[in-house]
Formats: sequence, structure tokens, C-alpha cells
Amino acid sequence: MSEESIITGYIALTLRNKDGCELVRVVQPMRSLLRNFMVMLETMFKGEDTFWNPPPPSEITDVNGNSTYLTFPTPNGQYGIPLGWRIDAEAGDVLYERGEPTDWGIMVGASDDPNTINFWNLAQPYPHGRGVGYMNYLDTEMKAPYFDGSNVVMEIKRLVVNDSDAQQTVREVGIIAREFYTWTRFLIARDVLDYPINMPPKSLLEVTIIIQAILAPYNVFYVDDYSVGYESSALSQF
Amino acid sequence: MMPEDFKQEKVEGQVGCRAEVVVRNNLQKREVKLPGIKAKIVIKVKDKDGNIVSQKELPANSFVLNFMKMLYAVFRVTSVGTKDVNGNDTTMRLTIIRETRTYEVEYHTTTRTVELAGFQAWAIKEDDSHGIQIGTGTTPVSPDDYALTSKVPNGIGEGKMLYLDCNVSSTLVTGNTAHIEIKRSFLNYSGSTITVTEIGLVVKQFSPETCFLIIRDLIEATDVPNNYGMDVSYIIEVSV
Repeated sequence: MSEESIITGYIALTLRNKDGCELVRVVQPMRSLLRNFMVMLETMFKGEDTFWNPPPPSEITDVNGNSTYLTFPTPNGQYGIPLGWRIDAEAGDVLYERGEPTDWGIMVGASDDPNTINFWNLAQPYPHGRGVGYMNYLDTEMKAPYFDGSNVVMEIKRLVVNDSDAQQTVREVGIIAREFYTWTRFLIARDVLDYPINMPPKSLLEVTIIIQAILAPYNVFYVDDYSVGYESSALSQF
Repeated sequence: MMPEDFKQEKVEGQVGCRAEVVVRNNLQKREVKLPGIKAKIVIKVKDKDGNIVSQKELPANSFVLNFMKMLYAVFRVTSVGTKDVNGNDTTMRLTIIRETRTYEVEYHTTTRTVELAGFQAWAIKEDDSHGIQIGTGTTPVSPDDYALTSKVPNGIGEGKMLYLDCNVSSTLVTGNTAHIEIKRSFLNYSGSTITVTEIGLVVKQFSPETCFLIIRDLIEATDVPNNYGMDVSYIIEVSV
């Protein structure tokens, strides 16, 4: 497998105090798309067809550690409406008032346990709330993908507030998707921060995840030909 | 312990500053390992007896804008405007439909009410509307590409190749990587050699029913002689 990634990502973290002054700004590569992400792609690519009945997709592991299939549920037989696995979450308070789970979208946690491909939840997530051991999650927003001149870019952002009266440390960041109608939630990415973020009381952390597809080099191809045993790269003359 | 090809020089400044210069005699290539989604293409050309006569492994460089739009549609549970493989403006959405369709299988006609969903990358034999496609175009990839420049259509005869079925594997985990493989075989009964220079992955949605190009790659020209076949795999991988 080439070391060149065609889709990669960055996590940008900006910490502000309660007066809005910027305290910390760090950026690091997003390293950790997980098996669940790949199963999600597999499920999309296989889809459903009750005539040809292709083999079923693999099972994801949800945030509770249960194995389950991603599905294409249709509420009240409303065929043709958009389905999917949301990551643009509403604010935790809004979800809480509706009595809905709040643990999806961009989430943060306190653990720096090393990643494995099979992680199914943050190791020590901060649930939504306002006391010690909790974070106040505002909306997770997504921008439509666009071409910036060299990359295709998609941006996901969330504001997280430490409303407690104690300092709390963020060491891990993850993205949890939610099946739209069944509320199945599953972790698709998790990163341990290179530099833990110590959030003072009432401080606000802006987490921005940039996912970009590297289209360049458009006209460079690499050759690895088993039959003659050479490896090279060349600019095409097309 | 410093390697022999290093020279080191230290310059002491006056007010607590110090410059340290390290010179490496021989320039060395430095690999930048970006994390994220990786993909590669594996191409095998086979003779009429199924023997592999050449095999290549190429990086898949080019997920186009439609791939990201597909992810956006899924992650926001919404419809996204884009162009389909025919260049028509339409909307991309993950959805399921239920309708009655007529199928012809092995010369038998069957009518059934079926449910169809997803962005399907698998395809049945001789259906070249989606799945892995091959072509002879050489136009550089651009993010707005919506079709291969010059698709080799399914069929027998001049300029055509027979498309066999296209399959999507289960997700396989090896160590700290997970991957899927999308694979299709093609047979050349055109009567002459066909030189393949581009490969793409097209997915099919059902409401509105249409297809979208999500990956397009230029490859080193690969000859497929008459009566030979070609296997093409896209292997998409993530790792931690």
C-alpha cells in the first residue's frame, strides 16, 4: 500500500477563556479513521437489493460495544427520503430536552489510551453536562465540500464548553455517527491529542476537523510493476 | 552518536542565544506518511487460460469531488446537488426505494416488488452503468470529473470489452488496518488489443435513479490483447 493518503484530515483546536481571549491553538493530523468507518463505506457500496440479494455487509460495533448492522430504515414507509449516518449533531441541551441521546457528533474525552482500529467509543468520554466530569456540547456543524484549488475539503466543527468550576483536560477527540432513524451510534474516528488541552473553568474549546481529498498530483502516476521488478514515478505527458 | 555523514557546528551568541547547524552531506529522501484513507489499484492481465501475464499495483490518486459530496450527503442526511455520469445536474442522496420491477434472468422474465438502497458499487455481469469501469481516455483528472473520458463499453466487438460482475468484499482487519476490496474482471473479445489508460469507480443510487463517478485514475497504459482478460481491484484502506 502506498504511503500516500488520498484523503487525509487535520484537527484544529482553539481554546478561549471565558472572556474570549485565545489561550491555545494547536493543529495535528487526524490519524485515526476506524474499522467502523470502513464498514460504513462497505454498507453504502453494498446497499440493499431484495432481488439480487448481495452478501450482507459487515457489522459495526456501536458505542455500547454491541455488534449490529447498519441499515436503511424507512419511518412510516417513507421511501425515497434521505437516509444516512449523521454527525452534524444539535446542541447537547436541545437533545437532552427532547430526551434524545447526546453522545454523538464531535466528542471529546480524557483518556490518552493508544488507538486500535477496532475502537468503538472514546476511552473516557466527557458526557454532555455542566458539572465536573462533563462538557457542554454546542452544535456540530458541517460545511458542504468544496474545491480550494488543490484539495477537496470538508469541514466539521463543534464548540465545547467546560461549564464546571474545575480545570478539565481533553486528551482524545472522536467523531460519532448516528443512524438517522434507529439512533444506533458508532465511533468512526478517534485521535489522541499530541498536546493535551487543559480547559480552565468556563473556557471554550473549538474543535475543527478538516477532511481533505488530495487530488494533486493530477497527472503523476507511480509504477510498481511486478513483471519487471522496478518502481518509479513519472510525470505523465498527457 | 552522530552518523559519519553529519557535520555539526555550534555558534555561541552573546545574550543567551545559540545557533546549532547540522549539515547532512548526502541529501536523503524523507518520507511523509500522511494518515487517512489510502487506496490502491491492482491490475492483472490474464491470457485465455487464466494465467497472469502481468500484474501492477498503482496508487489510486484521485477521489473526485463527488466522493466527498457522497460522504456529506450521508453525514448530514441530506441531498446534494451534483452531476451524474451523463453530465446531468441532479441530486445525490442515500436512500431506499420500494417498487415493482421486471427482471430478465437467463431468458426468463420475472416481476417483483423490491427494495433497493445505497450507493451501490457492485454490479451484475454485463451491466457497465456502474461498478468499476475502464477507459482509454488520457485527460488529466480534475475534481469535477463526472465520467471517464472515454469509457470502454460492455460488449463483444470492436472497442468493447465484456464486463463481468463487480463485487464488494467484506471489511477485513489486518493488524491496525481495515480495508475493503472492490473487484471486477473484463474480457477482451474485440478482435484486437485494447489499451486501458483510465479506471474509475461509479456508484448507483435509486432516487433519483442515476450513477455517479466517485474515483477516476489515470494509469500506465495497459495492453489487453484479444482473447485476454483483465482483473481490476480498488483496495480502500484506513489505518491507525
